[in-house]
Amino acid sequence: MHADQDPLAGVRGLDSDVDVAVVGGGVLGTAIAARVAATTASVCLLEAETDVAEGASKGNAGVAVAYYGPPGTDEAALIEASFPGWEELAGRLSVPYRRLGAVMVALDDEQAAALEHTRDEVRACGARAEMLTSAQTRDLEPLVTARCVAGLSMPDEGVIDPMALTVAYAQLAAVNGAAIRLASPVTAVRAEDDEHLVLSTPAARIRARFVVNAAGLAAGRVSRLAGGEELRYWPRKGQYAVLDRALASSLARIVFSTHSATTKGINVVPTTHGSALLGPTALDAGDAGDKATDRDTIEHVIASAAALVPSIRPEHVIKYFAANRPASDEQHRLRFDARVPNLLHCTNRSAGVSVSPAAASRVLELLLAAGLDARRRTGAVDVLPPAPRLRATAEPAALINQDPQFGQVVCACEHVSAAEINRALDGPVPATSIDGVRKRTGAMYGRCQGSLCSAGIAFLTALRTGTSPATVRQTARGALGS
Amino acid sequence: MNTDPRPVAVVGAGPSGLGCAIGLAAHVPVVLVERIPVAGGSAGWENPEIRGHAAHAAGLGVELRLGQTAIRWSGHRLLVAGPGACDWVPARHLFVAAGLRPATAADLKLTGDRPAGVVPATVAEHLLDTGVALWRTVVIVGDGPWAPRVAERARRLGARIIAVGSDAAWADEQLDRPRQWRIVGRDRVRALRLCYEGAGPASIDVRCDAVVLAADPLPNRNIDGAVLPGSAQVSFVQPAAPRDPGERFDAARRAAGEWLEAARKVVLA
Amino acid sequence: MKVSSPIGELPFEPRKVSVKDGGIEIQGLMGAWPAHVHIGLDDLPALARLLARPAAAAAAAAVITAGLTRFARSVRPAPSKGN
Repeated sequence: MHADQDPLAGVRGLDSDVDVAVVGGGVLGTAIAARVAATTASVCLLEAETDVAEGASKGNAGVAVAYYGPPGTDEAALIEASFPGWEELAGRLSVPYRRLGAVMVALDDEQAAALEHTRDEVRACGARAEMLTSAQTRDLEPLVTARCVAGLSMPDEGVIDPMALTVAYAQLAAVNGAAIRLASPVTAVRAEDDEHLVLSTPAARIRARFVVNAAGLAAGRVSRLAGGEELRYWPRKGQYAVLDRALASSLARIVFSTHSATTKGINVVPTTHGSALLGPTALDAGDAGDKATDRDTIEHVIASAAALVPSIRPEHVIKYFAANRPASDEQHRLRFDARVPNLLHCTNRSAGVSVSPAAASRVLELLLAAGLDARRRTGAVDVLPPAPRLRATAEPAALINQDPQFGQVVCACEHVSAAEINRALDGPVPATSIDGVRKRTGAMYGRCQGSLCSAGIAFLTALRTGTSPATVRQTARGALGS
Repeated sequence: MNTDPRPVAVVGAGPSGLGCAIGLAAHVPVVLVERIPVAGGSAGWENPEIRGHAAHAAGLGVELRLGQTAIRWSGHRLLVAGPGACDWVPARHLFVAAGLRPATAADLKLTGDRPAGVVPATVAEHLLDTGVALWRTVVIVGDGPWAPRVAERARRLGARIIAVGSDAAWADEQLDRPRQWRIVGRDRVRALRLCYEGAGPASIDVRCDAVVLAADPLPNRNIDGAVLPGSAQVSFVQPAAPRDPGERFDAARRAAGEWLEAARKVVLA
Repeated sequence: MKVSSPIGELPFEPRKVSVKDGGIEIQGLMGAWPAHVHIGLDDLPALARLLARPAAAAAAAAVITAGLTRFARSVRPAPSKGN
């Protein structure tokens, strides 16, 4: 049953009338939409771009942390509630996840002293941490520098595919009846009465009992449009370098820099694809649309990573990218607006992935306490169909036997099969751009960066979206042709 | 050599792969794996010499596995996946003749925005082959073998071509390769910014609506276990030069011959 | 028209038939993506071998003739290319 089937909607000049409208299709917005869609409440997700996961949820290192900061904060509580459940959640959603564990590396005595303090904080946050000698650190991760003076073992840390997670949350929401509206930026918000807000997007007007503002960098604008608090969000740019799997696949652990007073530093993070991400930097820039990398910063990222893992060299880097995370005076915000009683803010500067499971549950609790009429819906789906990958399977012959198209390798570098590409172009939240296929499958993410496969993927995407070589979308915002 | 019944595996059935296969086939069993369903590689499947070589290879008993992709080399076995089939092929040695690809933005230390309209030359070739005019002003970076072909096709479809980093007879305008370069443009590429050392402006913005990466050919390496130089029991036959298919064929045949010689000496020693 | 391939079933919609390079060229679209089929003189022997039995050959000829006649009546000029 679709959320927007109120028979009176058309009468009121509305396209949709829902209990909950979630603004923002990043990892938090989609997690919330999925959580609410499993109840009897109706929910609609509004995303400004033409795909989910186009903001910070696309450009991050993919760490599902067990520790991110001092205990006692709301964020720490949500992380503590989320981190033990990743295997189970990732299994249900068929999202790649590995609880690799991390080593935090101290390169001098000052850092070693800081590590002891970090150990205490990690434990106070409910996660495990053990001090390590230099030799023990290098036992856990042999590629760590011999200059390491001490280390901290953090076995509860893990890595996940943040784009696949976001898409999976969105799919789960959709199969449970949520309306996912893409290319739908909120342009106006009007209070209809004490209990309803009407949101305008270019294509539709949506009336909602509650609005959840999970719009990341645009959250300040959404609040202002709704007559809510003056919330300020500004872009904190993080630049990253991607390390070739030929080197990265030897990494056994996440390698963290020791946190200093001012910065968390550059990390070496193995990905679920077998590559590794080096980064991020943190620069508060003025412009949310500026996602450019620059030579000096990238060289700094590589050099910092090489200080932790000396075998890293510039020639191992296969890609650079940057993303802006939503910095705000409240690093984590999950509460109702002070002025607009049915507007709920849910944003997080850096740990969106890590808080998403518990944050989604907390949002639902707050909405229920505020009067949302919702019960667990019988027949709600909480498992997505399995999404096997040729590269990741232990039994390629059996997989190919099950479906011959798993044997048709399209992306030669990453061994992504036609079955996976077609799955990405299908389903309730399909890829509608070449980059959308990349986000869902990892194709074009390897060392040739699409030179062998992206013509074929462009063709398949064009076929599925009814576009031509000129009009097929390369990115969420741009076609291949001009 | 007669003591080892295992074949030699060759990946890639372009000029180099066919040269290896034919060079080996008179002396050892050969399995030739090619991910495209037809032999030809960089020379194209319609090239008459290629057709001749493919027939010759088959005549010599080379086992042709076309339309199948080699994905892993481990413990003297090559994992080959194809639609509906997947198996480990035992082989005493692997020749990787998987051809060349253009340098990526990271290979070129090309930073900046990541908008639509920046494509590898191999992709541009395929897209322009459809006959659809995609772009009005194309910057082609580099002088790889794809560059003149992309330029010719794009030109025929009405585009203006600017070459950066090549002595291009095929371009309307030509600029030297800079010390540093950046992509400019948020949603769609607007310009390639070139920064040169010394006298002159700090940077030049070459306005365009497409940037085609066709520089610094690099070997395709996508078989796990056969990526790095020095991989065990692997020979890489992916030279940047020569470019002529006939010469590549001959060079590969010689390389196969040299390996056979060395292998013979090991047996006799 | 449908083409089955290892990457799935692909639609092929013919738009224009012409004689070109010693053969028939069928220009069409796969979805909105231009594609073409070229049947050359060198292909005829192989096709002929497949139709070795006279009865099969006669039936095939009748079907092809009827089909092409119907097609030729219905075909519209190909849309102009480019942007």
